[in-house]
Amino acid sequence: MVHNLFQNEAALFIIIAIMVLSSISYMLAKRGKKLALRRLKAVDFLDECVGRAAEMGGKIHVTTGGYGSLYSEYAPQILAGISAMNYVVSKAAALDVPIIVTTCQPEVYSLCDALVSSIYKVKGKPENYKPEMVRFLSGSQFAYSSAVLGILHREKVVSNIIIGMFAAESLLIGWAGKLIGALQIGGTANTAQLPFFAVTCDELLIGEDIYALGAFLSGDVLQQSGIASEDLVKLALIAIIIVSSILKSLGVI
Amino acid sequence: MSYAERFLRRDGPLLVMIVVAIISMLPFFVISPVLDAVSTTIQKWAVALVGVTFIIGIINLTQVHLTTLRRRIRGQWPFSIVLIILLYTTLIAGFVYKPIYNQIFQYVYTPINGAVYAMLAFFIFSATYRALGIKSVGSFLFTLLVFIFSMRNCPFIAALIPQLEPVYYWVLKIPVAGANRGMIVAASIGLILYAFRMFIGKERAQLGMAGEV
Repeated sequence: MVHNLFQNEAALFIIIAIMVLSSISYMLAKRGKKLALRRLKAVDFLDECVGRAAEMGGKIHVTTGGYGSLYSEYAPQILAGISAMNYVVSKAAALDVPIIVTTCQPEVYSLCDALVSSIYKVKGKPENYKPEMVRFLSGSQFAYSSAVLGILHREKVVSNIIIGMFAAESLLIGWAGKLIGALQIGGTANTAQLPFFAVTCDELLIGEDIYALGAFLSGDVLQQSGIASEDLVKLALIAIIIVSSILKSLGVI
Repeated sequence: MSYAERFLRRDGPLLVMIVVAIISMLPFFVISPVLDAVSTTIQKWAVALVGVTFIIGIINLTQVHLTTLRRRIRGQWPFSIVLIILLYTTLIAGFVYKPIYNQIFQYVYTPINGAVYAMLAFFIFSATYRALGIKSVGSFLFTLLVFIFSMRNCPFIAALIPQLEPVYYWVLKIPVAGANRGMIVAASIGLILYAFRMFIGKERAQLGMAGEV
């Protein structure tokens, strides 16, 4: 009876297991017991990007992706990019550094525009917010990337934050940033595009790093304890894979 | 902030997000035609909402380029004129006379799109050149693999050195597939936790709310 009610039980089990582990680590962190946490260099690098733009009097360009939409399977990557954008814009607003947020998806534009204007209000500088800070460039992947290329070359961009969902435009944007000598950080969970970010960006976020970035940036011990539990799950999975491989090779399973 | 204001600004959108996310996710695990129908309806709403946001996007595009024109920003305003003329010509043609719209799409948009895509070939060549500098053991292995893969894809060399074929397939099937799957598994675990942080209201940027990340 129960069997007829559910499907994909294994996936459901893994999701519940991860959430339970995460909840346990949250509770442990609340009681003051911190789990060992790895360091994400990108956190300091984002501050460096903002700092350099402030020193040089240039602009920061932030993009959350040139592909996919918020109702597709790529949405989490775009949302992770928005989390990073939230942090960068907050820092830039505090230091009065001009920013340009570009989007390829109209729904992401609406979201980013609301977020950026709300950040400036929270920082007590609503007059510094300008509608042209957040720009919807095009719904088409290559039209978007060529518009970004134009912005990077024409508008004195000093730092280029490329975190989100990217496809073929990753190299176009990354390379254009490299040509103008911008400080660049790239990140995506699309493994096919990571090599392009690796050769064009100064700092790289690989796969799940883009999801973990939000927790690291928040500085919230509770959120960071979740990342520690994630690492534990990964270690457990590695152990399972190694043991299974040995057992399979020996013909036990 | 009063409770009503807090609910409207923060808790309400969060609640809507959680309910919609659960309803959209449940059909993946629970077999129920009712849930399937509700989830499909929600997805249709999402598509309709995106359609509306396209109008907002066009307004923003016009606003940004009109500002560029008004301020006569050097090196930018001529492009803004071209963009505004082309944007509204295409838009009006799409509503009024479809054949012109199709011609713009076929003879202007498609070739330009293809041209930008073709630029990638030069960019890839340049990026590969940059990546091939041997500075460490890792970069040496990388360069070696690039060499093997490039040679294997060259029919003349592949015919001359048939031993490259098994090496190519071994690299592709074992280390490359293994590393790729590892990254996908790790990303999936990270994604589950990211969703969990959203559900408990720790990640709020996706609701357009400033404050903690």
